[in-house]
Amino acid sequence: MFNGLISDICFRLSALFRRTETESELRAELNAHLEYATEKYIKQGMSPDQAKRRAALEFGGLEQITEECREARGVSHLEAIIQDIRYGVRMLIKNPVFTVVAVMTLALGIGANTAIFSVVNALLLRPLPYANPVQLVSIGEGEAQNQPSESVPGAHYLEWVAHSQTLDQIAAFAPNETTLSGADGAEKLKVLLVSANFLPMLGVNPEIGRNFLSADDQPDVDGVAMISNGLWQRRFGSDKKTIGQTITLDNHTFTVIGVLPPDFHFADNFADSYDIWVPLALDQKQEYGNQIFHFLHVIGRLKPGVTPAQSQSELETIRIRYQSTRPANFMPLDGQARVTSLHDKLVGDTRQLLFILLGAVSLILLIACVNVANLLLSRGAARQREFAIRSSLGAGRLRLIQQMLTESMLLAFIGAAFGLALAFGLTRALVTLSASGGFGQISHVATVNFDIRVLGFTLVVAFVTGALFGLAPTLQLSRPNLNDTIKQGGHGTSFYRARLRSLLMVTEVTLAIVLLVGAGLLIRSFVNLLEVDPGYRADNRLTMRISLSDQLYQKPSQRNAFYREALRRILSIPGVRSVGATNSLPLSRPVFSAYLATPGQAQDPDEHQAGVPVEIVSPDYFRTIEIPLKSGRFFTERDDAQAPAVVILSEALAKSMFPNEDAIGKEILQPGFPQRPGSPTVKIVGIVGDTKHDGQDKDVTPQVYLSLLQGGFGSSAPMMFVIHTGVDPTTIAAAVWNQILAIDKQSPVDEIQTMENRLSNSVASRRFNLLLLGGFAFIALALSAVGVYGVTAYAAEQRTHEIGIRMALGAQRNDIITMLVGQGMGQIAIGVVLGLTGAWMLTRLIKSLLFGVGATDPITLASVGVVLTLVALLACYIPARRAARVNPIKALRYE
Amino acid sequence: MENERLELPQGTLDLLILRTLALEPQHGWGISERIQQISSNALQVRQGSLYPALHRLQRRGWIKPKWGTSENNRKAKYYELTQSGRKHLEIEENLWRQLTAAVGQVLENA
Repeated sequence: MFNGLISDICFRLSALFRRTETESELRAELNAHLEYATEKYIKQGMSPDQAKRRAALEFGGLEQITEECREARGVSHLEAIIQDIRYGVRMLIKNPVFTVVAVMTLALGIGANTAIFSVVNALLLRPLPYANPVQLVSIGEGEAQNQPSESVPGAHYLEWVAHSQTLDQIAAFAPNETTLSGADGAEKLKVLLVSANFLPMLGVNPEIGRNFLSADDQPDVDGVAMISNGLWQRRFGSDKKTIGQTITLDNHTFTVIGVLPPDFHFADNFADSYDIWVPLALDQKQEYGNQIFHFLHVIGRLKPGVTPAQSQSELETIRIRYQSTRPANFMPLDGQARVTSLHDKLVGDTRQLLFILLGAVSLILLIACVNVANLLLSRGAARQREFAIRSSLGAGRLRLIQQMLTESMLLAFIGAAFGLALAFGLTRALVTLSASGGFGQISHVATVNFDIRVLGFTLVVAFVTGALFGLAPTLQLSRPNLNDTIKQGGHGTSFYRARLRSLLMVTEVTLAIVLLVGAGLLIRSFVNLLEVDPGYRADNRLTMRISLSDQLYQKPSQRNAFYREALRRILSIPGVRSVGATNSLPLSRPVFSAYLATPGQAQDPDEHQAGVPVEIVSPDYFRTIEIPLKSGRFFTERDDAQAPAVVILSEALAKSMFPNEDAIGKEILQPGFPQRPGSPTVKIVGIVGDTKHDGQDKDVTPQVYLSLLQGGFGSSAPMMFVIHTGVDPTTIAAAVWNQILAIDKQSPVDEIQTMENRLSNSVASRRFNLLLLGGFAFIALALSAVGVYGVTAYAAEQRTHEIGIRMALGAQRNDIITMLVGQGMGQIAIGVVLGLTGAWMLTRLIKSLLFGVGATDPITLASVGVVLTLVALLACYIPARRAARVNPIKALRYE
Repeated sequence: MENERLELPQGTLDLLILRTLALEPQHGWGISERIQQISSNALQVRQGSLYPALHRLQRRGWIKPKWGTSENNRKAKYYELTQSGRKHLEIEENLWRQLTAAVGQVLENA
């Protein structure tokens, strides 16, 4: 059987490639046959002429036998396809305008799909670039079932390591920042504290040097560190001798034991790359700290055959058992264990965004298909006669359909080739655009590129596309009476075709509307976002971070002296209007939170009220960033360590703590603040305006402000300087830096950015979504405008004769235009209604991307309807006007 | 006379060609003459069917062509049975015998 198949294929192929040879052999064979027959008849007594004629008569048509043999050889189908392709190429070359329009349309549709798919492929389909990635899970704790999982206390991690049966390995990490100091100056770097098995569990080995050992991962041993490849190149000149050298991190000495490979990336909520890796060295004896602080992030490797859900219930059991053994005075922790696949955790919300984008590009592809189908229909009408003739010459209907489909496929694959090139560029643009976070954490780990799966996807899309738009013209082929078509000279404007075309036009308008409404909602969201008053001013503000060395500035008075001097020097720079300092700029994470209470109100530790973010600011901070004073006063230079402790509340906080009362002069307890002997309370001296501290799209957060000069808890943390300038803030950055260096060369200055830039980065992912969906909607609008134009132009051309008659009978140009446009508008109106209905049902899918606007926002729906109607009207009007300009005499003669 | 000739049922031509070639390799004309002779002129192979059939059988790998010299010293394409062709012939012959016997039985006794 198998043998037979092989011989079959070999024979067909050799017959195909040795076509001329096979054919001439056959001819010689048939001639020989004829001669034998002639000889036979001569022997029977016929004259040579008679014999020849008889033999030829019996033999039948030479051509027919040749053709039948071809069929028997099994090459006729292949040959027909090759023939069709050749013919198709000729037709495409003969109609360059048609070909270019069709290929470009398809390239847009297929290219957009390929580009988005390559991102989907890289982020969702491909496994993580670690060893056996499907077994990797992220382990966290969350309070409610659908709350995101968060970090866990060290005690729980230690319990799980000791007792878990469902996990092969458990590793922990904790992100932090550190100051690397040395001869080249000090620099603030992201550091990841990891358990010794963290890197081996991911299957990562250092490029040079060794991995962490469990001996490194102990408290009270000499510090060791691994560095990223980037830092190794930048700070150490890729010198192999870096291994074994010591570096100083936060004034502690660490020995470099390894350099990580360049292609290794680990991303979490905090950073997309870490420069320094040091052992976690969790101290098991620090029971209280391990119990109280949720500072560990945990990942694990499931045992084969174990699901995340099974592991989760096991870890939860272990956690509950551990909690029950704790003394009663330990604060109970009610976070439940969460185990999710690491890939899913990293993908997060990106999955939804990608599905929305895939949906958008599929709509574009559909519009492209409809457009090309329309083009083919118009051309199909012109070719009606050709097909009729071929059909009467004996071509079967299937054969004709095969030819038309071949031509469609040819177009689709040429379009796909251009589409691939386009997708290549698009994908790179996407990756660049998404660098500021468009595709979330996962994009820092995965690499977007083209692989065999992307190419396969493009091929399949091209094939489906070709079949889709190739279908329309073949449908009509089966309808008309071919004889009539020949007689009419190809002008058989069948009712059927007109109906098909208007159906396509309606489809196109419908699809475009859906995309436009989506984009319109995103535009409205973005405008809403930009119009949000953040409660502070971002223009002409330069910001930077300074991290004072703990060793050089041990006492609050030393820090105060530095800040006073630095702020004074910065203020003296020409162009600087004012300068302030804070430990938590708007749009950054709060550094500290505290539970606030009034003296009369007992603190209830069981009630998990959210802590209020505590901001430590210099006296001029509010004036510098223009947070308005609502009542009371700002901090002054006199609110220092010697003066009574004072606080300023944000308006929202004041209202919630003292409803219907004046908060000024009231006292509150100061948990988490500097505990001052003799005075457990602090006095409220001012109320300032609310800010959108967490982001423009977030709610106003309550804030409590402390005076930097009072040297409270946390004034040693890095401070942000805000400088209000009368000039372009970027021009004074160098001068500011120099002034700080003049006081202190040991403390690193970084994150130098304008406040406007920070604000703009905070909406970067929304801008990215808008840019993408808006771009796709624009393409959809352009494609459908071209489509409507094409349909109207063709319909007008078909009716040239009729227009001539109408005009000869006295119709005015405007009547003709009204007639033609009116016909198109009917279909457009149907499309608009269908599209708006579709959008009304579909836009809830993008609800999570919207801000300040409902998914069925009537203003957006209405304006999209109007815009599309206007564009479509124009697309109808232009060809209609041209048709109406025709000279009636010419029109009447028009054939 | 021509009207009395029998039309070959579908598929039997392949069987006859294979059977003819089982005796010795033969060229196209030879095959058609042989079939005609042996069947006492009752069966005549139309060229229009013969050559496509020869190509079909080649495709299946049951016969293969080779160039030889004919009786009158002309170069001619001879066809010969392949190993698998011989096997196939055996099977087909058996099937044919069973079929005709069965059909005959029905015709005799029904």
